[in-house]
Amino acid sequence: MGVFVGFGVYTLLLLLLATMDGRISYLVSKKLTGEISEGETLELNHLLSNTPDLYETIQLLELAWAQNNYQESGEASIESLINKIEENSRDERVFPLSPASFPLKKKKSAILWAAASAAMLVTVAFIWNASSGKMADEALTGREKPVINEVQTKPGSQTNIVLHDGTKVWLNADSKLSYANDFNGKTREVNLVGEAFFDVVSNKTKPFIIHTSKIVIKVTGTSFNVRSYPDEARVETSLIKGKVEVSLLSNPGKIFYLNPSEKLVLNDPASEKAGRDEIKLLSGAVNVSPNIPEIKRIAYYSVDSIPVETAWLNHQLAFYDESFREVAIKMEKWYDIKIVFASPALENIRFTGKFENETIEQAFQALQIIGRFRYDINNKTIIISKSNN
Amino acid sequence: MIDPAQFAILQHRLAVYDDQQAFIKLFRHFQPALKKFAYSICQNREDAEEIVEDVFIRIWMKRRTLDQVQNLKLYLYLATRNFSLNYCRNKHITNELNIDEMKIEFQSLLPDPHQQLLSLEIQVQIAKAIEELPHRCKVIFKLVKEDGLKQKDVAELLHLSLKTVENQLAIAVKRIAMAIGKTRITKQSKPHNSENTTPPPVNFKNN
Repeated sequence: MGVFVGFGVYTLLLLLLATMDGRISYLVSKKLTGEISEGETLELNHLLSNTPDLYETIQLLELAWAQNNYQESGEASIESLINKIEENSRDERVFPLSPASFPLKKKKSAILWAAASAAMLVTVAFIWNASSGKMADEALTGREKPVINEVQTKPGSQTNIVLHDGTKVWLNADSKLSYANDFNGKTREVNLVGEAFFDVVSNKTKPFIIHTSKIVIKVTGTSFNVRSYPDEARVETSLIKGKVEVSLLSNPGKIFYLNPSEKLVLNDPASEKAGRDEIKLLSGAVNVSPNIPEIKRIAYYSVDSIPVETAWLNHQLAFYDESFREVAIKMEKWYDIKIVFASPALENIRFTGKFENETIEQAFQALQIIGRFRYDINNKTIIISKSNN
Repeated sequence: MIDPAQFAILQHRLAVYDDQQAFIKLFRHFQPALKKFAYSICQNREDAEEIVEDVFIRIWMKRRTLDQVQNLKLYLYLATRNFSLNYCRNKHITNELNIDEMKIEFQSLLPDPHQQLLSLEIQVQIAKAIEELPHRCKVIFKLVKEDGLKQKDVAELLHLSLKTVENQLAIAVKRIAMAIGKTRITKQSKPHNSENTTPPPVNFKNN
């Protein structure tokens, strides 16, 4: 450092600065980087309280610190980066750069983002646990035979899983997913009972296959929802993005292809006493025989809302023009309760709506606005009967 | 500029929804600083540009695992450091990060005459003080101040202890405080000689 020549008034400050002790410098640097704690702030203010000159100097230093940081942004050329990515991504989904492709995707991803954001808060924490657990597994088994993992949720709870290939699975209440520890074979296969949302990592050479009791779904890399509860008549596969192929166990030769925002609905009255009238209502008009699946649009309440099919990811219980019987089955899983209809006629009242933080009572009170019925709560069992007035 | 709170959202959108716009935003935001950082190691501008592109190609390829990254900024700097060192290795230059050989360029040490709150004199003195910092101290100061990295992140990036980083930064802060203090005293003692004077020419180039 240079030599200071100081006289009279300012020799004092120079002396002060020269002796500015390590503690002050340490605290000031922490303050500048925003890493200072409340206690340390108090300490620093106390240390500076007797030396107004030093205090002002440090204020100027703070001003200077805020200057000349990286502000340039946006001038970087992305063309060369994009070209390289496309060269690199022979087996990957191609990076569609044409500006036209952006706005098209935007809306959907925003919706999807909204659908999953709440669930993700939980997921991030979970991924860490899952991956550290996986490492331990690998170390223990020394990569021998694939271990079959099983994840099961209780009624009233949800969970999420990250599979070996990075595929994310959100598992709704009262559901079970089993899968091999690694995906060393030619395919990635899982078994599902219940409802799950899959966000499958793309790998064209290794299709991802989901087995359920009635259908088989084959994909390469997509996001979609599957609902296949053993006690429900309907099996639904709803596609958010990408492509999926669905085949029925009862007719494996025929493959159904879904486009984004479409869902495949399979009604099998044999599993539950779903009447024929209901199938008619569902299909809109035509007489659909059971076991012939229909392809329908995913239901949105409004343009900017999340699809009904994936509302559960957002911790919402949603239903769209469904019978009280179907709503009751969903509510049983959601609230971990049992619902009994004392009067069968009530089972056919139709509801559209969603519940988020409602208690069981609030939920039934809301349903009472639409349908006239009476409910009695008896421990975990709710009895639905005709209203007296 | 992106609000730092948005990084997590962009990162997540990229990880889960292949959101290309999020990817491009992140690239545009980090590219200038990462390029400088790569340059400080590989010391060739074209290489530095390519290294940062390679880092982001890797980010795109590995986007599905990005949700597991807790500190994206540090992750990008670590990747840039490793890619830069690999680059050097391929060209038979060096095997590990040598802080003493890092070439540090500040974004801009040129005093800004539009700055209303700090006099030109003070700005010149600060620039001079920074330029005169010991090399190691300068490297750390640059990464903390200009790149906005946390002290512990700098420690990890440079393979130093947190204590070393804190001590070096405290030295830098003290020296700059002294430069400011000195200028203020000079000004106080010569009240007529201030804003309108042209600053003395300062050589900001690296020696």
